[in-house]
Order: sequence, then structure tokens, then C-alpha cells
Amino acid sequence: MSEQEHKDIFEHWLQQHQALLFKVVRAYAVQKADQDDLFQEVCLQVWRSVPRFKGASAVTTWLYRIALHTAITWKKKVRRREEQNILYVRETPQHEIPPQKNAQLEWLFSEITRLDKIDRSIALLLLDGFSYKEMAEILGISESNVGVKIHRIKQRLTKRAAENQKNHTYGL
Amino acid sequence: MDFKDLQKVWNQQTNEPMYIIDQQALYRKVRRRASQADRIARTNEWGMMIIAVLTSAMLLWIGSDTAYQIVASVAMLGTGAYVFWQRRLRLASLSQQPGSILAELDQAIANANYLVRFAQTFVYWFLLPTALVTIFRMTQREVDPWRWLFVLGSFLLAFLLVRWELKCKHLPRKQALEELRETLTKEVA
Repeated sequence: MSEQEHKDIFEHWLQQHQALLFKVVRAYAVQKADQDDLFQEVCLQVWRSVPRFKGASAVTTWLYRIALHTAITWKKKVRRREEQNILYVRETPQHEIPPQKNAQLEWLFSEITRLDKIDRSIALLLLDGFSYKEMAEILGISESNVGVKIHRIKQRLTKRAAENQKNHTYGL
Repeated sequence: MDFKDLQKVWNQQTNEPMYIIDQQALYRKVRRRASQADRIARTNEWGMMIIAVLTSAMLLWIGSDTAYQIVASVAMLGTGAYVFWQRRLRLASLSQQPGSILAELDQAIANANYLVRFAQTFVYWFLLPTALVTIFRMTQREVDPWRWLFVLGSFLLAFLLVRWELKCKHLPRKQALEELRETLTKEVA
């Protein structure tokens, strides 16, 4: 694969599937600077994955797998860095985040970020309509394990939504 | 409210651009970071190979043509060849398609284990014995002080570099990956 082909595929993926990458980034990084950091890391891994993509799975499945794996590993690295109190200089952000207009969506993202990092992956895949089988393939765990986790996530999210509705804290 | 309502909320974002990306700037940055990471890996591998070849040459250069020196020199060249082979495997693995996140993690853990074992084996079963035997042999004959300095310095530098890499990079990385795997595979109670 030539450098130009590599670049073209990367840019095409980024253009077509940026929403997918943003979802993962938003679910794993809350602060804007962290989102910048993670987004760059995800893009780096996506760029590296271009020559490896043979079309055996859908591009969305492939990108989800890369983005989730990167996000989970990144989260781990950030936590360790915070524990060690290491200060580091962040690179200049390359993208802007307009203010979120959708309060319901904002609430949903905040609830997803409260889940542990593996459940977050499952919640994202679930909300994006992936099947149990696809989720199990992406994560490498059994379908029954995915099923149990999904049951728990659904219960938690619907319970929290009901509580919020009751308290009128968001306008569903 | 049920989960379908949450899914409707989620689907609202599909057509909403959340970020504005400067694609060219991002591409340049990604490209730079990728080359940086590759450069570090390449430097590491080439560094090990050069150390092996230089040590091999140094062993032959030190003194008499004993069997020890020939064997040790060949063993060092073998180490260099081993690193070269591992490098080939690493480059080949880059073109392989990953399975699942768990499979990728397993692969990463296997790589981390390999690096830990390699560093430990290199220090305790090769560098240290080679250094001890070399120093012992140098004490048996008249050797220039600067040659002493060069030999001791080379062994010390190699030892410190390998130990530093083991403690600061390979072991923490291995531990983090194993914890991550445990979290991923943890059975739901």
C-alpha cells in the first residue's frame, strides 16, 4: 500500500466514521484536554491499523474494536499517571467541541462515563445496535457474559433515567 | 422509561457533528507520532544488535585466541541474530489482523512477557557471566587502563540500560495489561 493510499483510506475513515470515534472518546474522557489526548491516540491507532484491514469485518466493527481497545488502555495509563502524580504537557488540541445542546444526550453520556471501563464499551456497542455476537467478538468474551453484563447495564441506566425523570433534572 | 427510549436519545446524535477536525493538521500529528513510536522501537532493536556485534568484536580483540573468546563471540553474534529475528517477527505481526480486544490483549501480554524474559535472561545468563569471565581473563594478563575502562564501561552501560528498561517499561506495562485482562474477563457475579 502506498503512502498516498494509506492517507486516503485514513482520511476517508475519519470523515465517514468520526461520530463513532467521538462517541468512544466522549465515553472515556470527560475533560476537554483528555478528550483531545484520547482522540489523538485513537487516530494514531486507526492510522496504524489501515494496512492491517483486510475487509474480514465491517469498517465500523474494526474501528470500534480499535477505538475501544485504545480507550481502555489509555484510561489505564491515565489512572496510573494520576496515581504517580506525574505532570505532563498536553499537545495543542486539533479540534473544537461546540457546546452540547442536547441535555438528554448529555445526561446519557454522563451516565455512561459512570460505568466501569468494560461496561462502557458494552453500553456504547449496545446503543449503536451491535448484536450480542458482534459484541462478544469485539471484546473476546462469551455471549452469555455479554448478556449478563447488558442486563445489568440496562437495569442501571433505566433506573437512573427513572430517578432523573422523577427529580425533573432532565427533560425527557 | 425503558431502554428503547434511551436508544432514541442516543440516535439523536448520529447526524450531529460534535467536533470540527482540521484533517490535515491531525494527519500531520498522527504521522509524526507514529514515526516517533516506530523510531523508538527501531532504535531499541538496532541498539541491541549493535551492542551484540560490538561486544562480539571486543571479545575477540581483548587477547589471545582461546576457545572461550571464540565461543563467547559467536554467542554474542547469536544474540544479535536473535534480536534481528524477533524484529522480523514484530514487523510481520504488524501485518496480521487482530481478533478481539481480548486476543489483542493476550498478544500484548505475550509480547510483554517475552520482553521481560529476554531482559532477565540477557542480564543474568549472558551479560553477567560474560562480564565476569572477561574481567577474570583480563586480570590474568597485562591490559591497558583505557581498555579496562572501555570494557567495564561497556558492560556497566549495557547492564544499566537493560535493567532500566525492564523496571521502568516492561514490568509496569506487563502488570497493567494483566490487570486489564483480569477486568475484562472477570465473571459477572
